[in-house]
Parts: sequence; structure tokens; C-alpha cells
Amino acid sequence: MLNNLSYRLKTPLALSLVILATTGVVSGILFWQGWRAAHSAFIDQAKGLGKVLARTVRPALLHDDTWQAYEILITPLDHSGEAGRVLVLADARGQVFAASEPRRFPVLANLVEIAADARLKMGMSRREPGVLEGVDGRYLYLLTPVLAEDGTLLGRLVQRYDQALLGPRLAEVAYQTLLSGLAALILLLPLGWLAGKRLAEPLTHLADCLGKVGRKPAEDIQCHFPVGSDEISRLAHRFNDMLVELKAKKELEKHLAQSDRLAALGRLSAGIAHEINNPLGGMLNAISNYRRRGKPDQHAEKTLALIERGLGQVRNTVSALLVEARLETRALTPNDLEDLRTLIAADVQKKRIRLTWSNGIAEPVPLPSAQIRQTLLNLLLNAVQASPVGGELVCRVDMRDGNLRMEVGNAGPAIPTRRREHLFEPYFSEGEGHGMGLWMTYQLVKQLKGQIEVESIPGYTRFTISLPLETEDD
Amino acid sequence: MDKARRNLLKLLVAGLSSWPWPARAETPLLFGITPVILDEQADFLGRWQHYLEARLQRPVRFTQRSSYREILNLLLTGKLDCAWLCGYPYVRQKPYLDLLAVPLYAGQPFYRSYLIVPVEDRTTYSIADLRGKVFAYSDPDSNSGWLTPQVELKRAGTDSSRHFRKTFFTWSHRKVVEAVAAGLAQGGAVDGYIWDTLARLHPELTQGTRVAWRSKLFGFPPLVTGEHMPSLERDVLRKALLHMPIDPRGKALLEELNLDGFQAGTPALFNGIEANWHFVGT
Repeated sequence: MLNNLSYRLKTPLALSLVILATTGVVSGILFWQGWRAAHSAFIDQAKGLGKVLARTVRPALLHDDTWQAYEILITPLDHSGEAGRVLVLADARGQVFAASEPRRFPVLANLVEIAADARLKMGMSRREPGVLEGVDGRYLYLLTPVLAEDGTLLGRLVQRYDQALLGPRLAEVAYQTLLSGLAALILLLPLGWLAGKRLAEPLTHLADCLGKVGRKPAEDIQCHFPVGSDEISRLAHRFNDMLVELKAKKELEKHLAQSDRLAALGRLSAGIAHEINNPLGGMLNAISNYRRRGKPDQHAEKTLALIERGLGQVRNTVSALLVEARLETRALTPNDLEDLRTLIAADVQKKRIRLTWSNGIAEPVPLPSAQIRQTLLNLLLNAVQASPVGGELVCRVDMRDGNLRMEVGNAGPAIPTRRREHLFEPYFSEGEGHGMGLWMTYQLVKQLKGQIEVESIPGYTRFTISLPLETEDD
Repeated sequence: MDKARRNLLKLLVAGLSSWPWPARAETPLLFGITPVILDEQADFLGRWQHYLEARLQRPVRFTQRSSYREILNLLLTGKLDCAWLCGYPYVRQKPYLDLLAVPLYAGQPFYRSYLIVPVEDRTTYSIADLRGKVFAYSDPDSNSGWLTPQVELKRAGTDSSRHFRKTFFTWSHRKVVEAVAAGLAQGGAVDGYIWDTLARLHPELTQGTRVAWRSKLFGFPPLVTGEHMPSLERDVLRKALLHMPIDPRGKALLEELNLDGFQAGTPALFNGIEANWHFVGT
């Protein structure tokens, strides 16, 4: 049951319960202390009164003046016979000399007999002042000896208080405690609830975020946590790391799938090309032999030319599919690059493209010049084609960290997402070109153990090729 | 030197010393008050003082003490000019005191002594019934509050000092009523006039008591002057007192005292008290 409750509620509830319990316990202690204080204040007050009265009634007791003693005894009371408070002056023999309630404690009656209280009897047998509770706990007796100048015991002043008198004080203390307890609760409970909510908030947020993982793509999950180093912050940090890793993994998977696909395509197309090239060479040779040996008539010659043209086209197509590293090992020179600039100059001029050309190569680079030329030309032609009229085209070639880096950028529109997923695959579209350019470029870069990257946002598309100069021998 | 001659001499001396009158007027009249009236009323005494000062054209100063005896001593030593006393000290010190005026209560210069008991006591009808009880007297110099019970006990053939288990003095009639009402004493002797007046003004005090027995009539506590007082001044003062019921303000004051007025009175009014005094033999 409790496990099903959200921390959003559980934490504030727990805090509130703790506050309630604490307030309760503190109030209890305060009440007890307040009550003790009120009780002892009451006793102290009565003791002080006893001292004063014992001193004041001494002459009356000495001079056997019952009336004076009575007048003194009723002075502290609002009126004779005030409920719960009785002051009795007993002589040395324990007989009532005067009392604030003469009817209940008649003059000359034996005080102990009237009170019928064993504890009072015990107290009356002692000389010292005393505070004692009656046998049945109803009355509180305060005994103060009345002494002559020489210390002779003249009598005793007995104050009897009904403990019920303390009831209103008890109620007052209880009321005060309750009031302060309530005030504390009114102040603390909202604070506790708020604090509990704030404590639980990051946890519930984290739980909500975790709940999204798997149901939503990782890149759509946006979770913000306060920065810190407490447990939840650390957890949140790990969670964010996990999200990043998830995204990277997905990216990698996509990339790998693309590479695998391209590699498979490469193998397939190479295989097909070889299978086609063998009979194709034979067929072309046969036509060539036939032409050399025999004298084909006009009609046959026409047919042969048709076949030859068709086969030539097949060969062209197949050789486009089959990107082969030709064993030409001439190193790349700065002039090779300048040739490329010349090659595209006409198209650039035609589209009034602003060309930024940066050739950072000053001496020959140990990379096969033909492949590099082919690759860069492909990229440049594509860029010119994608560039809007009057747009900017950037070509930058330099050496960086032991790699030859070639960068071609244009101001054309972004490559559509669907197209991008199959960017380096051969395709035959309705548009111009056969779409073999990037395929060829990709194959060449891979053969040279290089990397090709594409960035494309509206108004800016950039291809970057990075080729290592020293390929490890594998 | 007999009394008449002494008085004449004094009159001469007083006449000389008090001449001219305005100088004499500055000397205050010293007036002693005892609890024969409800004396714990500073407001009333203030107004009465004011009244008398206006009538006498001289300052009046009331003096109160805790017992009759102290007032009597002051009067006898000339430290007071006059005092309102009980008939009992008057008859005992008659040679040294002059009757100034006797109040009229219910039209007569008489009052009674009451024996009072707590209201719940329904069996007591005489002081003899209170054997072995606690008894409250008002003042040892009071006729109603001490002498009368002594007489009654002696008449019943009882020794007053052994009849009660315990006795005490409250030094005031009003406090006898309080002591009996509270139950501190099971009986008390009190001035009947005081009890009646209290019953009228403060019934809550007398409600706790019951009058168990009433004495015969005695001369009402009189106003007396010491022998030092010039008779001329005494006459002026007496005239002022006797005039009170005629004057509206004086009458209002008398009403507060629950009295009708004053008369010159004669020493014979107090023969009853004197006889009791001799009977008890103190």
C-alpha cells in the first residue's frame, strides 16, 4: 500500500507526521513543565503567605486574641469561607485557635480530629514547616510553625488547599500549550509540506524521465535537473550520460548499417561487374574479329554497330559501378589541383558562382593523384550543380595532422533527410546524371582508408574528406 | 476645691485665654469617637465634622482608638474635649465627666443589650444556655457588650469566667456580629441599637445571627465632656447637637446614624447601668 504511494506525497506526509509527532512531544514536555512551574509557584506563594501570617498572628496568639487572629486569617481570602482555601491557626496543643471557616473548624476543637487525616497528624507532630498532601490526595496542607522570640512553639498555621483549586491553572497551562502548539503547527506544517515536495521533486522528475526511455526516441527526451553533487543529482547526471550514450549508440548503429549496406553494395556491384565484364569483353572481341576478318554486308554492319554501341554502354555503366583503383602511383602535386580549378571554371562562370579556392599544398603529396583528382572533381561538380546562381562555393585543401583534408562547401539547399540516408549509394534518378558520382567518391575514399563526412543545413552543405598519408598495411 | 469652684476658675481662665474670639476659633475641638456608633465610616465622620465646624465656627477633629479605655484616658487627661462614650465608663468616671448630650433612638434616650447567636442555633434563649461555648464580648468597658452579660450570669448564679469555654473581645459591636455570624463564637453580647442599625444598613451581616435575648432599657451611650472643657464651649457644642434635627443637613446626618436627635439628658438616665456596675462589683 505504502509502496504504491508517490514520493510526491510520501515525503511531505512523512515530514508532516514527524512535525506532528515532534510538536506533540514538545507540547507534552512544555505542558508538564508549565504545570510543574504553576504548581511550585502556587506552593511558593502559599509558603510566603504562611510565613507572613505566622509572623502576624503571633501577638494575637500570645495575647489570646481570637478575634484579631480571625481578622488576620480572613484578610488574604476574598471573604470568609472562600471555596477550597482554609486557614487555621492551631495552638501548641493542636486545638483550633481561630480559623477562616469557624463553622468547619470551631474554636478549641482538635484540628487533627476534625481534618481526620493521618498525614496531617504526622505533620502536626513535627516542628518544621511542611508541605504535605492529604491521605485521599484531595487536600494540600501547608504547615508553618508560629514561634515565640525564644523559639518556643506557640502554635501552627495550617493552610489547607483543595487541589481542585489548581484545576483552572491546569486548564490555563493546557490552553497555553495547545495554543503555542497549534501556532507551531500552522507555521511548520506548510513549511514541512513544501520542503517535502521540493525534496521529492527531482526524484519524481527523474522517475518520469526514466519512464519515457524506450517509449520515446532518446533525442526527444529532454530532462533538466538542478546541478549539484547529492545522490539525486548524481543519479540525474548518470541518467543524462545514459541518454547521450543511447543517442550515440543509435547514431553509430545507423552509421554502421549504412556502411554495411554500402560495403555489401560495393561487393555486389563489383561481383556483377566482373561477371558482366568477362562475357562483355568476349562479345566485343567477337564483333571486332568479325569486322576484321569478314566483310559484313551493309545490313549486318548496321546491326553490329548497334550491338557494339549497346555493349559499349553496358561497359560504361559497369565500369562506373566498378570503382577500381588503377595502379597509377604518381604522387599528387599542387598542379593536379589547379587543373581541377580550370576544369570547373567554365561552369562556375556560367552560374556566376563566387569561388573561394584555397590550395594549401605546396609540394607533392604521397597519394595517388588520379583517385584524388577523380574524387575532388566529383565533389566540385556536385557543388557547382547544387549551388544557386550567384552563390558561394568554397574549396579548401590542406594538410592537417598527417592527413590530406579536402573541403568543398556550397550555398545550396539542404540535402533531404531521405536522400541523405542513401547518399553514397548508386542511384538512377529522373534528374541529371546517373548518381554514380558520390558512390564512386565513397568507394575511392574507402579504398584509400579515408573518411568522408557531410554536413547539411539549409543554405550550406559541406563535404569533408580526410585521407591518411601513411596507410597501415593490412 | 469643689467641682463648682474649679469650674468657675476654669471658666475665668478660659474666658481670658479665649479673648478675643477669633483667636480661640483657631483651636480645634477634639472629639473622641468610640464604636458605640458605626465608627468605621470615614466619609460620614468627615461630613459630620464639616457640619459641626460650620456650626461652631471652629475646627473639629475626630479621634478614634482601638478601645473605649484609650478614648476615656485621653478624655480624662484633657487630650480630648469631648467623646461619645458608653454609659458604663460614664457612670464609673462620673465625677470627672460632664454629660453633654444623650442621643434619642426611636424617640427615646434608651437602648438595649442583645444576646445574639448564630442563626442556625434555634435553642438558645438566654446566656445561661451558652455554657461551655465560645463567647464574644465587644469591649470590657461596654455596658451592652460586657456588663450586661456579666450581670445576667451573676443573676443566674454562674461564675462568668468559668461559664464559657472561651471568651474574647472584638473591640467593636459590629465585629461581635461578624464573629457570631461567621461561627467563630457561638454567642455574643452586642449593642441593640448597633444590631438594629446594621440590620437596616447591612442586612447581610445580621442575617447570620439571631437575637436570642433582649435586655431591659439602659441609657443610650452619651456624649460627655472632660472637666477641662469650659462650660461656655460645652453649651455651644450642646446647642449645636440639639439643633441637628431642625437643620436639614443635621437631620440627614442623624438619619445616617439611625438616630432622631439629642437631648441634654440627666445623669439619672444611667442609674440602671450604675446599679449593674455595683451589682457585678468591678
